Amino acid sequence: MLRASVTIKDVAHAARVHYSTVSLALRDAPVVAAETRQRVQEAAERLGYAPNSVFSALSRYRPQREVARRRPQIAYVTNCADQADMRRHPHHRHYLEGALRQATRLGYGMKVLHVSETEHDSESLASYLKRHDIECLVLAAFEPGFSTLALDWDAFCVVKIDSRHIPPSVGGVSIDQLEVVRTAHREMTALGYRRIGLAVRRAEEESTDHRFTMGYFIEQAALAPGSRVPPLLFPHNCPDDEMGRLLCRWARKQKIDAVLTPWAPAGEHLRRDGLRVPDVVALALLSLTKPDPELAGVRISPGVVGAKVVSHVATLLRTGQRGISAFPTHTYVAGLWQNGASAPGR
Amino acid sequence: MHDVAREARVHQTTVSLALRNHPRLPLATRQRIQKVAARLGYRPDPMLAAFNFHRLASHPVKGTPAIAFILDADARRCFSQRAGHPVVIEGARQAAKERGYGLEPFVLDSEEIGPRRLDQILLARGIAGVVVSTFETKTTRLELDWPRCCAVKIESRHLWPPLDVITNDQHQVTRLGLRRMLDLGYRRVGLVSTREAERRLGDAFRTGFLVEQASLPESARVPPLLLDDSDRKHPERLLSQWLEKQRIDAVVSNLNDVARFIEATGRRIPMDLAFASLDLTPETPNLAGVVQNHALVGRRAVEQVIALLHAHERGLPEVPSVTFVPGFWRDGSSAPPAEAFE
Repeated sequence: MLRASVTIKDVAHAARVHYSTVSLALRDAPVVAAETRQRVQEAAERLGYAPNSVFSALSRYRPQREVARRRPQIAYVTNCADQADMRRHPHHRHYLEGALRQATRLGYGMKVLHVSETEHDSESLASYLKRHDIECLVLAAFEPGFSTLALDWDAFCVVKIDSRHIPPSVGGVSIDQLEVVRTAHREMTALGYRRIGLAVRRAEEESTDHRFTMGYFIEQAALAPGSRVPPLLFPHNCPDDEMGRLLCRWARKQKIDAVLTPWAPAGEHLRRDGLRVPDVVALALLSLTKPDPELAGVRISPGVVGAKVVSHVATLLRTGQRGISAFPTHTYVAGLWQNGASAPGR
Repeated sequence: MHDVAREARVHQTTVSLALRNHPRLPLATRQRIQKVAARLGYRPDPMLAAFNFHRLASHPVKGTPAIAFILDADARRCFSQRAGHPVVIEGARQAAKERGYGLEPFVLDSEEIGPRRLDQILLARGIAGVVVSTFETKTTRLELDWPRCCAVKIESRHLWPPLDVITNDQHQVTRLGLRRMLDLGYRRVGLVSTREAERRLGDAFRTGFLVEQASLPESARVPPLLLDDSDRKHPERLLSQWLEKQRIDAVVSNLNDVARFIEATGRRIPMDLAFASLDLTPETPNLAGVVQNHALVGRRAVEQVIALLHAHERGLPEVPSVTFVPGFWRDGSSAPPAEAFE
């Protein structure tokens, strides 16, 4: 025999509230008083109410079909100064494109917001989010050394792209820099290079929880102590020319025959300084985003990072997981090796 | 039923309704179809009907979709040895229940249910969501109809296909363990692991250890001790030499029996040497160390499968990802603050 399943209205009746309140309370929406939430949750538990996943899927599907109804919004927050600044960083553009595609697929809208001296500070951002009734936040690749953000996190579902160095403690998505560096180190070793060095901006090291050097140290640990090269960490807010100078000085001093770096202009700076690529120094770029016969290195997929971050924030919203997490889980997206003229092999 | 439908010029589902005398159909239609069925000699299959009745009776809430949790029969041994695994399943089951799904374990076994049979079962049951749980390293491929599935793996990074993976964060676990021992005042902290575990987990313990040591002065950096399979059973002599030579005052390890081996070398824990486990289990209540969050691994795996189902992302991912679940520190008598002994 079929047993009639417990519906949201049964719970509403038992807890003496409207059924829309039940829905909010079960998702832990802060708009419902904590006492009421608890009462409703207890009633649901007692009656054995479980959300019907078919209806959940339907309610996800419905916003796409009803044009009049407002789509739920995701705020995509960066600390790039403004849109022009964002366009200058190609990885930001790819992250955002991936995020926008996935948001559209899942039926969400997306607003790009900047925390910077010229745009939002924490207070104005908070009031913007409230005014527009936005609950979902993506903290997208916050750069160390620029503006940060303080919000009442309990009111939001938050996921980060990189940004490991700043609060809140929430999950996130990144490129798998550890595996990217290991792959490049292994491939360059197989190509016959013997003095391999990693050069990375300190800002990127910190925002990725040191995963570049993690991959680097474990590969270098397999070498004889005399063949190991200390990594070059570019200081914060270092202008390109200064980075180029540091890079060439380090490469000469350490007698490096192959540079691993995510910094795209590295090749140009080496060339300018007389360290021709690949004749004098080989180069493996750790941030390739499209096939290029000139460049060896690792192809990364920032678009997939953007898509995943939106899926994760949508999961948080569905399951009512707001605020900080005691055990934030971070997801890393793989990269693929690509041979190229900048590392022909010894 | 098809024949009846064609003859009566209606859809077969209408036939089904009419033969059950369902009130949704106009009486005239019902009677017309019933007459056609009688004329053609159609009878419902009693075995099928019994099966249906049985099936519905055992599923009181109709339509609960299921997520398959695939277990490796060969890994059953490590299920009884490693406390983590049942906790993983429990976390997965709980997460599925909260979202209105059922979690159905299937044990893959070459003799009973092989991949082909499992594929048929999943197809027949309309199950698309799949969690592939920990597989032993000797199984290298798992052939299912992946383009039909929304699937993730737990650990099993060696196993084809390259699905998204959810795993404990051994890097973070090791970094946390080392940092806490330094905070407690220990100065020469060493890591003991096995070559086998490092192979299986992509050098995770050593990677975490090395990056955390990189920020320490040269004098505090201790080279890790990696045990071979051959000295895994009796590492006392190796251990003793290493402890002596490196002047070690604290050991962290993913192997809980290292504590026993240390005591077998004549050293007392914590009087001579502190010890912290990197995988605490309920059977070791006195040890300090890091508790790996197995239940959250199961939960995240199910959440990701449901996210894939919602987005209709079936088959192998374009580029795979790994999701790491962090562990947490627990104090214990095997690692008291170091100044207690000064």
